[in-house]
Amino acid sequence: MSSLRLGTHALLPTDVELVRMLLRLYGIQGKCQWAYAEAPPYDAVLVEASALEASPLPDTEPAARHVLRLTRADTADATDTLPRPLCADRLRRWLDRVENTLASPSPAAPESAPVPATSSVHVHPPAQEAAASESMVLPPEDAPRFRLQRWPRQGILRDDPGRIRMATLLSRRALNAHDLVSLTGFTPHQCQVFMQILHASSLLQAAVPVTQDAAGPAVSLQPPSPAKPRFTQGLIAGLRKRLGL
Amino acid sequence: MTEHKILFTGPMGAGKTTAIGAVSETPPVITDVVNTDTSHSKSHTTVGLDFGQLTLPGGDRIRLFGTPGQARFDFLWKILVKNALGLIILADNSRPDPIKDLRTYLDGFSDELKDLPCVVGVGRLAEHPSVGLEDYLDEIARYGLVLPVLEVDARRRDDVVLLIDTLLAQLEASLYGA
Repeated sequence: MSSLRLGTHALLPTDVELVRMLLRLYGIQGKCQWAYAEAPPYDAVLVEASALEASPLPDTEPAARHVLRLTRADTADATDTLPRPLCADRLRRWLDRVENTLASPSPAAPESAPVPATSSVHVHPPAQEAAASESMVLPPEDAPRFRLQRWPRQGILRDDPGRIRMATLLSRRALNAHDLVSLTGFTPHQCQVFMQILHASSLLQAAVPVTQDAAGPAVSLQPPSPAKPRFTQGLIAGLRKRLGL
Repeated sequence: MTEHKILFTGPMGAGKTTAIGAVSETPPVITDVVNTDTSHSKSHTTVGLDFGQLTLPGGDRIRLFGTPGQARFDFLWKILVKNALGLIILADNSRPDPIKDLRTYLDGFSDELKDLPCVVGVGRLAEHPSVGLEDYLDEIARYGLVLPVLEVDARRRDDVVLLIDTLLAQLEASLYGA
């Protein structure tokens, strides 16, 4: 299901056609929320970098918050730029990143800062960016815990089994990112980003220790009626293995 | 060897038998008969219960039970759900009032849902989008529950596996730190 709109600005017709074809292919592969849009409003815009000065994006265009510049030079180490020849994987990664940002409307959560259409390009070598991601260290075990108060919409989960698993865990028990890492084996970055997105979407409810006065909206750290441990962790692992997970 | 049970429920034609067949290691035992219920065009329908199974590496077995789809067999629900590990509610979005169908199962299993892991799989959503996943979430919220709601195609093994994995994650959360 496509719900996000990618537009183009000042691109050659052949590039436009290529972008349209790539979006169709992403759709066939599944899990792609993006569709080509002929006209505004856009969620993101792919622009010809060399034409930006002569033909700037309109200031009123809100999609200018998410602009990907198509360049002739190999500027592979710059964020929000894409060198020719247009690489399908790089475009997909950028779209996924913007999709994450759009799914987390609060300024507290974005994974990449939007770049104004007319600003200079901010350079982050990929290695540096990756290091920054990895530097998102595991939070302390006693960090505040939160529980899901409503199942997230599809745009947040993106049919991603990992996100679905994290959301499911949070639907049953108040957890923090440390707990999620322990339970899922995902990276601290994945768990923290997902929790930030849920926070930004007001889907998480703070937990309070059971001994504390529970007046107000906070929920208990413990599930109301913990399941009897008749089904052990080993059996869960065995069934997952049997199902090929 | 221990046996465990996962229950599939939902209205007639939602794909319970199909879902069990998609993951069972043996062809599901089916208790279908010719459908005489004129409210649905299915040629056959389940009147007893269906079951498939999965054998785990240690020899333990997971039985996959499907409830009969017709409401007149709802006396079997309480029997089947006893000691189940989890409940999978399959909804059929092509039916006239799928939210009313959902209410039938939320009411029918209301006691168990206070504790029992449960997931809702919504089928035929793409062809019948007038009721969306958000409508299901709204209804579930009215019951004070937070349940995973996923779009599924009961014929696709990956979709059914994801439903089961969602039950497992709920069990895992309950066991965590216990």
